[in-house]
Amino acid sequence: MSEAAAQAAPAPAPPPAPAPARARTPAWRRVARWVNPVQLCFGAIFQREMRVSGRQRAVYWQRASLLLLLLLIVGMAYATAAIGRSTEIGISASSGVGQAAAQLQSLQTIAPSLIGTGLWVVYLCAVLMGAITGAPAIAHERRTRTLDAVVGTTLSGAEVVFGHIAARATQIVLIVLLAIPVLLAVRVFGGVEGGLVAAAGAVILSTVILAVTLGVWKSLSTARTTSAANSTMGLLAILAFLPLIWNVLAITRGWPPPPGWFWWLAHPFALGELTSRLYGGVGLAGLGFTISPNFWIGSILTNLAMSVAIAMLAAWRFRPAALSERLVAKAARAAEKRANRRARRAPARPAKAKPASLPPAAATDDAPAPEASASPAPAQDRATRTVGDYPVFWRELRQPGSASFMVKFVTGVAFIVSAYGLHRYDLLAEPETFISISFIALVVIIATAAGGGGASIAGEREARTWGVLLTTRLSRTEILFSKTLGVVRRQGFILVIIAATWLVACLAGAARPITVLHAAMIFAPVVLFLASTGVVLSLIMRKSTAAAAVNLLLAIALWAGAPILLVSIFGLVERYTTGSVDDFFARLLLATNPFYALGVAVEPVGAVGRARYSIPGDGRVGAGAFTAILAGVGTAWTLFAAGVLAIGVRIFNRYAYREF
Amino acid sequence: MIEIRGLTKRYGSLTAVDGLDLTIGQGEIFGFIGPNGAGKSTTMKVLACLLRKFEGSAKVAGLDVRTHADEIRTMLGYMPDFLGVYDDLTVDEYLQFFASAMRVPRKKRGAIIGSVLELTDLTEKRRSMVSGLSRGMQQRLGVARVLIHEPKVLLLDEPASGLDPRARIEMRALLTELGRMGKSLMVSSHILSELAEMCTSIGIIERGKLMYAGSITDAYSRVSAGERVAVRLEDEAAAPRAVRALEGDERVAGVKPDDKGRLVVTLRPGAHGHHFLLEILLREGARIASFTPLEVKLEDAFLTLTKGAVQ
Repeated sequence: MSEAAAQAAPAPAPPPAPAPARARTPAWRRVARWVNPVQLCFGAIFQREMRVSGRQRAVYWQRASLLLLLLLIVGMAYATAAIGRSTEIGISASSGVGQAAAQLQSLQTIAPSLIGTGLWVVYLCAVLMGAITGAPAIAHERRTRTLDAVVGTTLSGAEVVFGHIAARATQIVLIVLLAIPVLLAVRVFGGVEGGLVAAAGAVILSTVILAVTLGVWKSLSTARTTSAANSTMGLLAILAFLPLIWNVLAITRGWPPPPGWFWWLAHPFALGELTSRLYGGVGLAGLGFTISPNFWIGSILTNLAMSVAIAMLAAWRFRPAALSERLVAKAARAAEKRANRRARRAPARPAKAKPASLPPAAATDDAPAPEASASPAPAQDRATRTVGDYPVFWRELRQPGSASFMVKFVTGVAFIVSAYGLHRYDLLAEPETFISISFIALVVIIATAAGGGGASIAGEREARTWGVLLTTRLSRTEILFSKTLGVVRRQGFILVIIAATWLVACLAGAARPITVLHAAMIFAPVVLFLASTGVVLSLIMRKSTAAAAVNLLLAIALWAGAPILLVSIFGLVERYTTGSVDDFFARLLLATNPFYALGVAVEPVGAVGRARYSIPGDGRVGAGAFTAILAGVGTAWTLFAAGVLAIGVRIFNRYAYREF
Repeated sequence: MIEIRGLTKRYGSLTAVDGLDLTIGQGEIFGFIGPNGAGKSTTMKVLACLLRKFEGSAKVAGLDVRTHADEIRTMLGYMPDFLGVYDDLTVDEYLQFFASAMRVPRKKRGAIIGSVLELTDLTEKRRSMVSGLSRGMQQRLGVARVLIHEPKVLLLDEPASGLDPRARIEMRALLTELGRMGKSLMVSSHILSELAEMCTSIGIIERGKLMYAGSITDAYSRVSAGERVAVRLEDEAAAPRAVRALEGDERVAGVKPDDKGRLVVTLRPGAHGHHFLLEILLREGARIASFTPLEVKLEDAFLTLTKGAVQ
């Protein structure tokens, strides 16, 4: 190129400037994001969750259902109390003015019980819903594989965690706020202090926030939403009853009573304190507990403080937990190692044949499959277990239970330490210890059986294995019954712990061996019944947590709500009749309520000589008769369970194929 | 083997499949092509007896899916687009589970599992936990599962989705092998080139309507009215003269330059061979740098046959 041409040629374009490096967010801004509650709680996660829940019909059904339930209960309580009071007061005034005054007086007496009942219903439902709503937060994202996308954004762990808590708590808070006006409306009857209702509402709301926060926290480290929900409910129960257990020990063993601030953990007692005052009672402080009358304020503050602390812990642990794919891989490697160990231990089988292609018509029953050529790796066949002819049942039996090895190990150690502790303080031989443990065991087994049943089919749906299962030749009866037995089987670990406790109690002389049999006869049908209802609910409902929650509510309604209802109804009937209503009611209760039956079963504990069981109407019966009664009751529950499953089989086609 | 008449499936106001008619013969490998949401998976779910409420009729081996679901399940293998697996089982246990679920006699299970594992090249993974398999291996395990009861018909919904190139090639080879074994396959995929290589017939569906069903060669002939040839001349100045000469021949439908500087000559239908183009160009004194007959691809067929619905 000539010099002139070179001069005329345009100058080469300068290389493009490198893109400026993205400036790191200043520290003060990051801190500001951390401390800005609006940024933390109402960011992208909150908005997404609210939009999603706003489109779900189930959310509106939940709200409407609770309101309807509340109105129903308030209505029933009103009707019961009004009739009873009218009879009690004896409205004999013939004049209209006198009648109206008597009616007004009656209503003022009724109002506190209406509000108290309503508050407890709202509390139970809201806290349960809080735990169940919070538990799927991260676990669901992990399962649907959207968690990586969230982690890949610039959202901080705190924004994700607080966003989830805020969104999920808002759903439940809305329900509670809808219910409170219904309860306050009862104030028109008079006789109720509005401040107490507001205080009770605050206790409920703070407990809901704690339940949601615990759910989100557990969700971080759990793959299954139902496991997270169960753990959350367990933690809430422990927090709620820890002060009471201490207090019982203090009374029975002369230990120092729990300090007043320790009662702040006990949220149901805070509500109990307030509702007791509604009724004009003396509250827990008046019953001899070392509690400040205003401990409910401490309870609210404790709930909120614990919520913030747990949320901050969850925020701190969010990224490590979210990126813990390596933990999944680690678990898979561990499983592989276990399989290899099994392979080494298992005796070698003859080498299998290996055809070059599929044997023709291999699956037909008539034609035998052709012999296949030798396998290149015969050792590989040795680690596997042989699947039986009922594959769903086979898998259900071999599925890992609700507890991991570590949990089982820790529980076992805790059991031994507890047993030693009880022995050390001479509590082991005391019947009260055995009775308390039996009742706690029944509560635990009901909770776990209800939760396990709910996860059975809905869990398959969530794991996307349900469709494939439906394309097989398995019958609906086989699927439902196998799933039910699987749920029962998964309660095995808890049942073993309970059985071990009873065994220790027997050895220590705190329980008769026959009581262990009776307790087993009470527990087994309950587990079977809840497993069957859980499986059918799991078939009907799309989400495992929803099915588990409804199943648990069913248990509460059957064994807590029904007795209250029966007491109300029979109390009314008794007023107008002079029959053996009490006996009839007690028999009915015995037949339907495992807690009552357990109470009768453990009553003669420690008695000298032959055990006698107080059966209403029949006086006291011997062990043989009581065993026969329990056998009859157990058979009835088992038949109920079979009936529920029969309904499930009947509606199977309607619900099993729904999502396709 | 598969016969669908007037199949219509609605989800509320959305019509997923709209009056679909389709016939797939025995031993046929049918490629089901369509964009997302076109109705492919819905059609497969109807055939797999997972959908009960629909209009029209669907038969597998002459049996109605509404009334003979149990019989159909014995002769049909369905692999959904998203494969959920029981990750707490080993590969062998997983296959045993489904062999048992399909009522394969216990004595025959071992041999069948061995053979399907070999066919799907998973023998080495027999003891491995399902959760530890790669995506490609899990897909192959899914194919192994649907073969476990020796079905005559296979419905494979996006079997190659999410697989790396090697895994795709392996999957294609596997499906071709299954076709050779005489099974009827219905395979949906977005990777049209792969379907073109292994399918004996295709169906193109869009917005629930079947736009085309038939052989691939027939699809190609519908797409291209005639053969096309791309010609690059060394001397561009000779191009106008060459174009005039080519357009003057009655066997040539048209000549257009493309964006690569070539002349694309479209022949009229029935014009056999393209040697006469060379004769014309040489006669005009054009120096030819390249002379390339253009292939019609399945993508072209898909775009052309779905054009109306897209618009």
